Amino acid sequence: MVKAQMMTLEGIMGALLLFLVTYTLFQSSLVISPLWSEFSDAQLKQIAYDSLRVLDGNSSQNDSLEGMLLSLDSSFIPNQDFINSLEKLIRPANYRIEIYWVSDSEIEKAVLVDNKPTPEAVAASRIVVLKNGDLNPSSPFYKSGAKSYTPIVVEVRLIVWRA
Amino acid sequence: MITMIKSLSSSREGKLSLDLLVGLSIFLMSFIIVSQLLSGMFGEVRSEISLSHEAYKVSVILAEMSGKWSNGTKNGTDWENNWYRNNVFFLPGLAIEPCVLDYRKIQEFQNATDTDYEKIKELLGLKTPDSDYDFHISLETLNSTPFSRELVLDTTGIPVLDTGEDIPQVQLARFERIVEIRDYSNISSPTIISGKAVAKLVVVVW
Amino acid sequence: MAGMNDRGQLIILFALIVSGIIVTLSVIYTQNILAGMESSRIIMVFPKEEIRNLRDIVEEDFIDSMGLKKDEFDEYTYNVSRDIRILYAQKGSYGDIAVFGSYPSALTSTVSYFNVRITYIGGGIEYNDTTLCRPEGCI
Repeated sequence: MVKAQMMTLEGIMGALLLFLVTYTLFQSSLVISPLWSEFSDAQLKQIAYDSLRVLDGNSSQNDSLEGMLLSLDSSFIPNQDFINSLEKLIRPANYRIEIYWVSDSEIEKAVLVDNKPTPEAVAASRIVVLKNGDLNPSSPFYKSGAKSYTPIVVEVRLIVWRA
Repeated sequence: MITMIKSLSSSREGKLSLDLLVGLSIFLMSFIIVSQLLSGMFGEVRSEISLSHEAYKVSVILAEMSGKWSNGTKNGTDWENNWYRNNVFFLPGLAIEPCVLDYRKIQEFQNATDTDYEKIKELLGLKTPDSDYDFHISLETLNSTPFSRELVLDTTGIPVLDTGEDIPQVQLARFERIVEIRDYSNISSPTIISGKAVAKLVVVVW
Repeated sequence: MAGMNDRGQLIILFALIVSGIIVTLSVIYTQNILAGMESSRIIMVFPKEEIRNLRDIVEEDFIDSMGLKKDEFDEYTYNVSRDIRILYAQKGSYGDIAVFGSYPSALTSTVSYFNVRITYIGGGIEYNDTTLCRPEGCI
């Protein structure tokens, strides 16, 4: 009889222990880890798109996307104003910039800021249209012999990740 | 194995003791009770998931839409001039065009939320029969972090947008957007990037 | 021998019950994770920004180029459209801004208004929009 009571008691204790463990498990860690990292990716991607949008639009500014692209030479190093502005926008995150453009129906690629992304990196891109007439003849985008209104379509790809 | 089955089938006494039955029934009963408790817990988990989604949704409404108002007969996007009238429903978007905010709309949003927080909560879709979230919305400088907030101030030193309930120390979802503020003559020392006054629109929901 | 068998069966029975509980809990748990991932994935995948980018090109660059003569304008927009298609093709989606009608003004022979079709297919979304643009903006 005493043994039977012990067994029942043991059963109750075991059950309680199990529930306590599952409860604390769900209460404390919740679904935070996978979900929140995914969501912070979404946040980072949105910030990257917002940054590109802010930088786009005004070719007279040295730190805009157009201004930066127009001032590029064959070394493909963006001007310092642009880097400063970009870093202000996406601050704690690390970044890499690639550009793609079409030359004689072939896609050309250049890396402007060469950092190695981590696997969690997210990318945002924006297409910018330049005009041949605005380019310096030494620019890598310049099409000699083309008319001044000939467009050069450049895709700027911004890859960001948490440092 | 075979001998075990043989001995089981030939055995004349029950294998389940009273101890086991009592223990098992206690276990199962408490499991049912706790599973009901658990479903409540999962409800919390679900709202946690939608929480971040709500923050995103509110940030899209505010940063990308111009808003809209209607009183049944008239409507328009200039809710900032009409929100205080009777029977007016409005969607408080702050944008002129996506990610470009209007200074007047920002101010009127601050006024409207300070006047009737509950109504704004409903209009932003944060209060439905099944759910009720609280929010805090502010315009912060690019240097601002959740731990040391730096609000965008106007020339008189008053925050341009800092409204909603105070942010509590609970689980919350936060979503940031980078926005341009058009007509920034009233803002003290704005951050200028490629000729635009830029700030962070921070939406916190819990 | 008989006593030992009793013990074993009890352990097996309890093991079954406990593993059943753990399985149900983990199923619910993974469902929650999936729901969370799904909702943030929609944010990541929905091509809102791409579509807006195409619209911005129409509303800024195309409208700025309306000072060109009709055939120059057509050549310009044709080139932009072709390059955009090539750039999007490398990302596995289709994006295009095709001007399918441009109308010169009688006085200056520059373009006074034009029709453009904005198309974006990708990320599970098919977007198609036709607008008429004048120097003041697009409808």
